[in-house]
Amino acid sequence: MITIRDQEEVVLVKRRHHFILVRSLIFFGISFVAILVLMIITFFASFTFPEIVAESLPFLLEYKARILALYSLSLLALVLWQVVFVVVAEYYLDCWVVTSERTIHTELRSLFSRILSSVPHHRIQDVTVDVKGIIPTLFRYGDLQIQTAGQFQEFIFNDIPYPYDTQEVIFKAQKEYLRKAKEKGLSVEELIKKDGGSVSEEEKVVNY
Amino acid sequence: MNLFLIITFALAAFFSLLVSIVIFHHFKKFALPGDTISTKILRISKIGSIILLFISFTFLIILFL
Repeated sequence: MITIRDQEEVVLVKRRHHFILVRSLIFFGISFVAILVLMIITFFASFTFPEIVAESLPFLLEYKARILALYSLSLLALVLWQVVFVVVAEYYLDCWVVTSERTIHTELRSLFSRILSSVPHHRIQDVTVDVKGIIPTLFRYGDLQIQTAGQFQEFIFNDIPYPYDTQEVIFKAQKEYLRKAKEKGLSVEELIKKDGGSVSEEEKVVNY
Repeated sequence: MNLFLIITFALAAFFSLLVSIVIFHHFKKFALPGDTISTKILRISKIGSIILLFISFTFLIILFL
């Protein structure tokens, strides 16, 4: 689980735009609905095996054509159902969390591979927004790139909605974080030295 | 042919179970604390899988009758 520290507050959680999920799901979703419709039609229709099937595969004649068709379609529906939820899980579990102290990125790369990385606000050097294309412009989503001073030099939010607003949120969170650090008498250089001056301890890749 | 039908059902059920377990694991381990939407997603996935497995099993039994 993403661990939020005691004094840390979640400021913003971002996932990819819903359009990306719809685009990924559209083929599987339509296929699933088509299978369900076929199952309903098959359930109420009465038919037998075509002659060519009966001649080439005579052992099928002992089975009712309708029930065999329904069985096959239900298995196909089951497999498609799982595929749909893998796509949903990959969408939902890819998220970027901006907290009062850092920005966290978690991504499900495949069923058995996951990446979890974070960058503290004092390591952020630049935040750039990139909105390219007609559909991203119409639907107001794009990429947000955080340039950092660390092992993971680029931290990219892909296809997030309202990236310009997110950019402002990150700037505000960073400003607030540095202000609080200054109140405690810590400069940016001291904050960098405090976390080892290189890779943040939370930056790791988790593979299964 | 009977054996083939049973094997296909077993394979589909195994695939469904494996994927469900992995997805559940990912949601439980890597979802944000206090996230209620992930609970709903898992519940829909679980109920749908159970219903489809039950329907497939029913048709399999009817085929053998």
